[in-house]
Amino acid sequence: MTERRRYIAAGLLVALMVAHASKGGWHTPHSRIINAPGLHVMIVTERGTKLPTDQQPILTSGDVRDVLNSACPLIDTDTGWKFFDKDEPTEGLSQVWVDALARPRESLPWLIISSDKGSFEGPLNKDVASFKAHLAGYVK
Amino acid sequence: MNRTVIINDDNYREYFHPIVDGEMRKHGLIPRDYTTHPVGCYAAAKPFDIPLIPESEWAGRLAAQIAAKAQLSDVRNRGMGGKPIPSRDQDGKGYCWAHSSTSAALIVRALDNQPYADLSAFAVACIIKGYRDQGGWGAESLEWIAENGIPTSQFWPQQSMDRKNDNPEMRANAKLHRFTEWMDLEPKNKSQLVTCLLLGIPVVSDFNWWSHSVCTIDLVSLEPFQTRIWNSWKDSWGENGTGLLEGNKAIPDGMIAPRVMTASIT
Repeated sequence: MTERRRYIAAGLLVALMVAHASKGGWHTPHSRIINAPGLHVMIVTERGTKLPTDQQPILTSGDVRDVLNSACPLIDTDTGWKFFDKDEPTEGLSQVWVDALARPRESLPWLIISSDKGSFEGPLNKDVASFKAHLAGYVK
Repeated sequence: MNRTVIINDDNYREYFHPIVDGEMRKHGLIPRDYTTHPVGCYAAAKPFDIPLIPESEWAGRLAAQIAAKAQLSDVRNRGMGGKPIPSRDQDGKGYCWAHSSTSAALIVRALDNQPYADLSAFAVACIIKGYRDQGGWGAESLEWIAENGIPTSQFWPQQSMDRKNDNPEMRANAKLHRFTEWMDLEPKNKSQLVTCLLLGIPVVSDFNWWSHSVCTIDLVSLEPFQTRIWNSWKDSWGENGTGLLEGNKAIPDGMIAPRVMTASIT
């Protein structure tokens, strides 16, 4: 391998390491996964699936909802966060969410955070506290 | 009133025909006949198809849910732009069985954080019953909602029984709010009820002892066994429209659990 190729390979490796978040997903700095300004958060799950005891409450937690309601922008009458079932019909949704739901997922429940500070997509956090802490990194 | 209501074996007769805001409240449940309408008979409803949560896990999961303020009442209390979703009002008609499923629809939409839609249960009941004030059971209304949906009050005003409401615009709006996945639970099956509530699934609940259908939203405690129901007697009944059922009185005779609805921004 020539020296030039070695440099290219090392550069790619560094880029991969930066992009890969420690939370088990992919953090992409300075780019939005969801094509809309401001913080957008989407969780996709299969409703009725038994999740671990501490993870299950993320989906219904009032505290999580309060944080999301205050952090995500109101666009017309809709807000910038959604918790979808994987089989939910999308014909009544805005294109922003249709596009986000169409992205490939490796597992469920799956989390997407998209903001002006960067984006994340990967498995949902293990409990309410770690989810809120994770989210805080993307809130202005 | 706005106080905690706990209904149990000792006091349940007091709640047969309570006076709320000076009006006698009605019910309207016709008990589902499981010999003619067995579990699984509804085309759109699968029988209960998720693994039961073992009883050994109930206490731990309930404690985690309460600690995280993660019950469906917490979802309801933030479901209208951060404020509580108003209780439905069956307005002295025997339409509880359409209001219980409509309340469940409001919860399912709130779970997704779909914008609040002021869904009108009278549309469902009036059309099914030919505009007559007649009783029914929860699954009857859910089946209709799965096929036709529920309109908002913009297209069918709350408590209206006017036939002119049934027009193409109303039908188109209703289609935006359809159930697409729901489970038909076995009657009186406590394990299925608890599993749904611990997984954040509302349960449309028919209580034969009460001749009433309501939406069960929370498991409150295991000893004594208590659930929180969301009634359709306006917010002035109980605690913001909700009350607690205890012991045998908390186990429904008929149960339907809607999981998924069409998503819409209106």
